[in-house]
Amino acid sequence: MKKLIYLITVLILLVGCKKDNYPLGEVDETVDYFSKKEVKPKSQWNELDYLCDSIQKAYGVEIIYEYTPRIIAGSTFFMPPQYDKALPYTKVMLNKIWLKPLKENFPVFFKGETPIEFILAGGYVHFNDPTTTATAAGAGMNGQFYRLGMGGVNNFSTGKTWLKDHIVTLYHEHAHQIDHKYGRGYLFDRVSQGKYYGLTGYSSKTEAQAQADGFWKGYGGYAPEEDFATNVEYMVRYSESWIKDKITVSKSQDLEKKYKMVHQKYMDMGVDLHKLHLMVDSVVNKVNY
Amino acid sequence: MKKVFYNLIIVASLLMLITSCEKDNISNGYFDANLERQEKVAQEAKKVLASSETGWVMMAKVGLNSEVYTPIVLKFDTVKNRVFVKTVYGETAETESFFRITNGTGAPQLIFTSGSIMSTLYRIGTQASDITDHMYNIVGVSADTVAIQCYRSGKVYAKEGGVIYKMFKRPKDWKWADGEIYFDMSSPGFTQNVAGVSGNMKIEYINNPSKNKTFETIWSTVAPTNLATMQNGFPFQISRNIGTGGFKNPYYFYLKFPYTTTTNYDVSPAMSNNVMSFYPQSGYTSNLTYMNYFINTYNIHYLTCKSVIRTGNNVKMEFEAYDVKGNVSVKAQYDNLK
Repeated sequence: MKKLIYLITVLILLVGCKKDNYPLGEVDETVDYFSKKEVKPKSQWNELDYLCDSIQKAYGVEIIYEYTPRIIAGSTFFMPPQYDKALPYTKVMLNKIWLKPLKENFPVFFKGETPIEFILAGGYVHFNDPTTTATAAGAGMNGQFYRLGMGGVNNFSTGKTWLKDHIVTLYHEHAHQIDHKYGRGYLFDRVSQGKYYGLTGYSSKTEAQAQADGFWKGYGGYAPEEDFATNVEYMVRYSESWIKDKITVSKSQDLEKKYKMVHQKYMDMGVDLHKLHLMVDSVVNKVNY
Repeated sequence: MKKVFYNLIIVASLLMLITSCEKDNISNGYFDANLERQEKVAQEAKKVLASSETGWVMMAKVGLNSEVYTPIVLKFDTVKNRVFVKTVYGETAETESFFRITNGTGAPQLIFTSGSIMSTLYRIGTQASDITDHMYNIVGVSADTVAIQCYRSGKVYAKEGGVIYKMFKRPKDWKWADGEIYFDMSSPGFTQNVAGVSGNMKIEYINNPSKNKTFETIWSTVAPTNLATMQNGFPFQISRNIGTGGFKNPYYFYLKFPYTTTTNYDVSPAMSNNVMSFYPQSGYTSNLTYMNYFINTYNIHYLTCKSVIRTGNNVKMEFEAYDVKGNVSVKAQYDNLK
């Protein structure tokens, strides 16, 4: 009898509250919870909305330039971009320099690793206070699997230096996303274990010093996350011969080891970073926008 | 005895089980029965915002030693979701700015979704205004008032909800916020009998006439090379502060005023939608010194031009500045004949 009572109690415990745990009903699996809750009606679309729509259809990336609390949480501080900057930025940087050539030249990498959302930030990322100076290009936004974001859109310029810097930084930020998605790997973190400069040490290092220590630049020696991302950044920015030359000059086995790891990791995802460099160099420097 | 004790525990747990689930049922019942409520409130807010042809006014408090509030005139085009912003710091640029009214959670929200003067003021911080977000909860709507509250109150860990602005319809006689520019030191037609002429300026404080002041002044134009340097110090532009934007490059002029008790010196106000703006520039020490001295002495940071009357060689101008409710609290007169 006593056992029966216990059994009934346990049963009630298990099933009793089930319904109430889903007070709004069962989760509807056909609903895309990642899409925006309130879609802007077509009657309100401007030129950029039409452009974003065609980019989404062509490349599967939703470009976001208008902020709502669904885009920006209460604990993050980004400034929305100015419309007259966001429009040419989307046309030139996102469409012509990033997505189109990537899809054409590296379809496997494009298909597997392109985020489904991209957020434009007018200024840079403020970590704690919206009124203080900020410099981070995309940190905080890019620790998510499905969305990438870039700061500095209000500075948009068709000057080649700006375009090159920005697209290289975009691949750097994207590397953070890859890092979060798959991990840098156990072995990558062991190469320079105990040799990182930390927050206080990295800014005083010259590139040559950093390379001798096993990092591409001072900032790469800040922490393993930036070490990984700066590896990608440097392979996108510089040619294969430049990279190999620096490895020789630096005499750093760590630098070479990590370079090979990151290069191979990206090869496995369908992109040879040296070829990506050639592509980026070509779309930035051989075309006038 | 032991058995009774066990049974008691079982009964007590059952009771707890049954009652502990009740809370959810109560709170959700209301929302289930009022699915349209949020939609309705948001629609109502939209209708009211569109109802004022001349727009709505937010009065923002500044961090400067000024007793007047910064008026921000917002005109909402609810068909295209465009917002047109005019304020006293500089002339509004041509770029488009957008807003959205969303259902929000609990209250509908008014959000300045793209970069605009509104996000610029949020970025600049307390010196220019007490705005702490570009997203607002709409906390009250009536035929002539829309009360909005900044969604965030400042930096991380600060409490939820900032200042509440009771927006009112733009007064019809705020001609400065209309399209026509009639007060413009960059225009040769305007500067005739004004530039280089020794005139008088009188500042009146409506609630404190004992503070009234009169001083001699000379207004003069700025040479192009100097102007470029001064424009470089305009704090609301992208090259100074990347999160900002929405203003045109301003025109500055020189306004002579008594600096300390013995010398006269130029302060350089910026022209802005028929307003002269006494907002300190960034990065130039001498400008900061004189501008701050001017603000601290007269306790104003702008003067909107109400009228320019020319009779022969005589030019008279009337100016005003407003309190938190948009009432005139400071008046000023310029007369080119001392």
